[in-house]
Amino acid sequence: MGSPVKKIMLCSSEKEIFSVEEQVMVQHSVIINNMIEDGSYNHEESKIPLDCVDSKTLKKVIDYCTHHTHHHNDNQEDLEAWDAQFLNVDSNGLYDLLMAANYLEIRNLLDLIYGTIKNMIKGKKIDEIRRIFNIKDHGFTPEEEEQNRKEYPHFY
Amino acid sequence: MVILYLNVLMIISKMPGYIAGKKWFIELNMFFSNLPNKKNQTLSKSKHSMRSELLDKDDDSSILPRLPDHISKYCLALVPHLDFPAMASVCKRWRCFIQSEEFIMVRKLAGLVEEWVFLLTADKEGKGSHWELMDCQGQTRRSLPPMSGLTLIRLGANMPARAERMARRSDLDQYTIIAIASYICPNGMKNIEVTVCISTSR
Repeated sequence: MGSPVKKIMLCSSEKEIFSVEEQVMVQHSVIINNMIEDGSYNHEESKIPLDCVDSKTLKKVIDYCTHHTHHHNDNQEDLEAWDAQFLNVDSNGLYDLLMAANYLEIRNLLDLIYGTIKNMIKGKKIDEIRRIFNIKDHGFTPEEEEQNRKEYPHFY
Repeated sequence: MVILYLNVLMIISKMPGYIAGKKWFIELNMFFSNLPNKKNQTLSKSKHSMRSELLDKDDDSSILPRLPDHISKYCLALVPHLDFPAMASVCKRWRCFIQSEEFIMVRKLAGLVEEWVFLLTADKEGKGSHWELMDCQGQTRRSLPPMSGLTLIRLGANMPARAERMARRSDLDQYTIIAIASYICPNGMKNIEVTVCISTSR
C-alpha cells in the first residue's frame, strides 16, 4: 500500500474549504509550489486563503489542475477538446478564471485563457468586438467615429 | 514591427519609379507612433495592486471591462497585426494603447513572433501593381494603400537568391524567407509578375 495522498487546503473568498492533492497544485501553481517549498505551508494547521477567488471559480481551477495532472498523457486532441469544454463559460466566468489563474500563477491555464480572449478579437468586426466585450462608450466623437467608418468600412 | 517596415521600405526603394512610398510610410508610422503620456509601464504588478485595480476600476475607463489594464493589454497584444486597424477603432482606450510604445514592448515581452509576407502583385488588367500583406499561412490578405508611380519589377528566376540577399542586408537578427511565388496575370503572359518579398520574424 502506498502512503496516503498528501492534501492541502484552499480557502475561497466565501471561506469554503477545498481539499486538494498537494501534487496537483504544486505542479500547476507557481505560488503554491513556492509555499510548499519554502515551508510556509503547515500541513497540520494551514489553509491557503484565496480572498479574491470565489468558490465557483476555485472549483473550476482545481478541476483544471486535477485533470491536467491525471490526464497529461492523453493525446493532444482529447486534452484540447477537454479544455474547450472547460472554457465554455460566459465572459464573466472567463474573467474570473483569468484572475484566479493569474493570482495562483497557473501558467498553462493563463495561456489557454489568453488565447481564448485573443480569439474573441481576432478576425472580428468592430461592432462585434464592442458587443463581445460590452464596450458601450467608445470615446470617439461622432466626427471621429464617422471618419473611422469611412476609412475602414469593411471592419464594421 | 519597426524592423518590418524598414525592411519593406528597403524593398520599395529598390523599385524603379519609387516616388510615393513616403505617404505610405507616414501612414504606417502614425500607426505605431508613441504617445508621450504612455511611457513604458511594467507588466507585472503586485497581487494587491492588481486586485484593488480590479475592484476600483470604473468599467468605462478600463481597456476590457472587469479586468485590470495590464492583463487586458497582454490580451490585446496577442492578437495578430492584421486586426490592429479594427482594434484601433473599437474605442479610444484601445487606440491609445495600440499606438503606444508600450504596445510594442508588451508584444516583445510576450515573445510574439509573427511572420508576414509582402506581395507586390499585378492588378487584374496588368496595368498597375499593388502591395498586399498576408500572414504566414497565407490566409489573410489585405491590400496596402496604393503607391502611385510604383511599377512592377521583374526578378525572374533568381528571385529566391535576391530575396535572401535583401534580407541579409537588412540587419535583421532573425529572418525567414517563407515563400517565393508567382502570380500570373489573367490577361496573358505579358504581365506575369509577382515578387514575394521577405517575411521577418518579430
